[in-house]
This record gives sequence, structure tokens and C-alpha cells, in this order.
Amino acid sequence: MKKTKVSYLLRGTPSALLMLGAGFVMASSADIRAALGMGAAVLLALLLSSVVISALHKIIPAYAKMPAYLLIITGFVSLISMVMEAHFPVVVDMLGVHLATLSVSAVIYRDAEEVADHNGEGTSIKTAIVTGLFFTVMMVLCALVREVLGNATIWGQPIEFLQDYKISALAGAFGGYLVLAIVMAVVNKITGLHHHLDENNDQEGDC
Amino acid sequence: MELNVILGILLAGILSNNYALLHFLGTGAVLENERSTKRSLVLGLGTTLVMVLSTLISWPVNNYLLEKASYLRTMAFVVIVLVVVEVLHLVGKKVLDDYCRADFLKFAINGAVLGLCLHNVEHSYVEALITAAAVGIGFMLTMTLYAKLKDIHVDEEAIPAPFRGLPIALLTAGMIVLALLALQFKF
Repeated sequence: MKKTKVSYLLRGTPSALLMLGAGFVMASSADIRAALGMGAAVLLALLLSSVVISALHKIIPAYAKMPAYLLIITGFVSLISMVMEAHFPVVVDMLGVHLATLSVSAVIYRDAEEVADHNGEGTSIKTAIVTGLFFTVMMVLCALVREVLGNATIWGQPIEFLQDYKISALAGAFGGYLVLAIVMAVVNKITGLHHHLDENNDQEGDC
Repeated sequence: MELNVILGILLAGILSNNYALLHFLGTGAVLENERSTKRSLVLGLGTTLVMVLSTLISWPVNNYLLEKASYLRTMAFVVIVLVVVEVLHLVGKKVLDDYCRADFLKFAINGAVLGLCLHNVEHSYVEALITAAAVGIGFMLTMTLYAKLKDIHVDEEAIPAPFRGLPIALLTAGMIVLALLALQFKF
């Protein structure tokens, strides 16, 4: 299969990218508000850190790149969490430490290292937007299934006719894995991009 | 502190409070792991050491230096984790390079380590250190278990094409989570 523009911007297949951010996707997909909040945080953190890193990458010495990039990302994540805490305290409570741990997320760091470090602001912004939107859509899709079927609520409001039929397991940790696996399989089936995964796995060497 | 409390924290950290599987902290690092069992064990041990040393430093820093500047907590903890990982990498360069080249630097700075430091500020110092060791052992065991599972030959053809790769890895992790959740009810 030809490499599409979207798969180029996602730096591989949706599966490969999602694997890096599987933790925060599952952690924030129990509620649609949390999913949207985390989606916005990921998008903003990717966007802001990519712009700054792509502007500064030439003046940061090679040996200091990793700590410098991590500190830039942490600075923006702290800023975003403070803004969210001021305006959306409920969402910040739902996300807990997962919002802060975005600072060391492999998704944002690899975006900085693989894209922003080698390209100008334009490409970095495009990649950050596509990656951020991809994660937001995945989180909202999972949250829709988990909140409606697992909690029988939507946006925190109870759905009366579903109260007797809710599947509580979907709202918990197991539901996170199950729903993400099914959503990912559907995405693979629709896009047909899963064929790339085997190729990518073959190329990656053991540590 | 009583022995049963210490044992309780240790068991919880390994089983019912497993960070990678139940708290979704460091899950990506575990799912992405394509290393052999031996290498996973070395990386897991290294990460456990990073967790304990980071807690050893981050707890007093939070309680004595960041009392009035809690907005700097995440930044300070990331710096602490970075320094600990760099120092460990320098000290154990020979062992780490034999087993996993420069991968340790990127691997050990993950959500589980930072999340643990942030969670631990709510506990007493001794409790925080025991929790760090327990969570580290739990993380190491999860990684090793996952690496061992990947060593087992699976007939890829038996898995429907869209479920190959991440989806089947997630379902496998989900099954382990179900077993751990059963333990939560048991105790």
C-alpha cells in the first residue's frame, strides 16, 4: 500500500502512534469531557512545543537536546494544566496526574525529536495538528462508547432508559483496553493501514 | 510501621495498584516493548531504581522547597527524574549499554515514574519509598511478563487482520487486568 499523506504526517500507522499514547487515551476515555479536555491539552502541547523546538533546534547543542526538549514540553504542559485548572477544574480532577504526565509522553517527545528537530515551523505545525486531532478523535470515540454503555450517562447527564442495561466493566480499566482495541481494529479495517505495522515491526531492531 | 502494612503496600504496588496496567501510567512503554525477556528485566530493574531514587529526592523537595510554589511541582519533578536517569546511566553505563544501548535514557523517563512522584507526595516519606519500590517491581514484572508473552509463538493467521498488532496486544493486557481486578475483590 502506498504511504498516504495522513500516514506520513502521523509518522507511520495509526496503530504505531496510538501505541505510544495508549496510556493517556485509555485513562481519559471514561468520560467525554475528560476526553475532550485531554485532546485539547495534547493538541496544544504538541503545537506549542513543536513551534518552539523547531525555532530553537539549531541553537540547542546535540548533547543537551533531550533535557532541553523535555523542559520545553513540561513548561507548556504546566501552563496548559494551570489554564485548565482555572477554567475547567472538573476536567482537571477527572484527568488527575495524567495531565501532568503528558510532559514525559512519548507522543509529544517523539514529535519534537523526529519532526520539529528536523523541519521548519510549517511542517511541525501540520504534523502537530494532525497528531493532536487524531488522538482527540480516538479519545472521544472511545469515551462515547465507554460513557454511554458503561455509565449510562452522556456529558455527565444520566440516560434514563439505559440505567438498567449499563455494563459497568466498560467504565473501568478493562473497558479501556477492550474499547480501544475494538476502535483500533475498526480504524485498521477502514483505513487498511494495518499492513504497514508488520513492515514497521520488521524494520525496528531490538534494543 | 507494622509489617502487615509494608506487605500490603508491596502487594498492592505489584498487583492491585499496578501502574502500567491499572493506572495507565507507562502503559505505552510496556505495550511498545519488543525487547527480549532478559533485556526487559534489566530495563525494569533500572526503572525501579529510578522510581525509588526519584521519590527519595522529590518527596523532600516537594515538602520543604515547593510548599509555596506548587505550580513548579511538575517541572521540578521532571528535572529530578532527568538527573536521576542521567546519573544512573553514567554509573551503570557498562551494564546498561551491554543490554539496551542508549535506550535506557528514553525508556526510564516515562509516565509511571513521574506519576509515581506526583502520587507519592500524598504519603509519608517511608510509605512513599515503599510504594516506589513496590510500583517499580510491579512495573518490572509487567514488562517481563509482556516480553515473555511476545516470545511465545502465535499463529498470526489465526488473528483477524484488523486485530493484529496493537488491538490484540491491548486485548491481552485487558485479560491480565481482569485477573488483577479479581485480586482486588479477593483482598
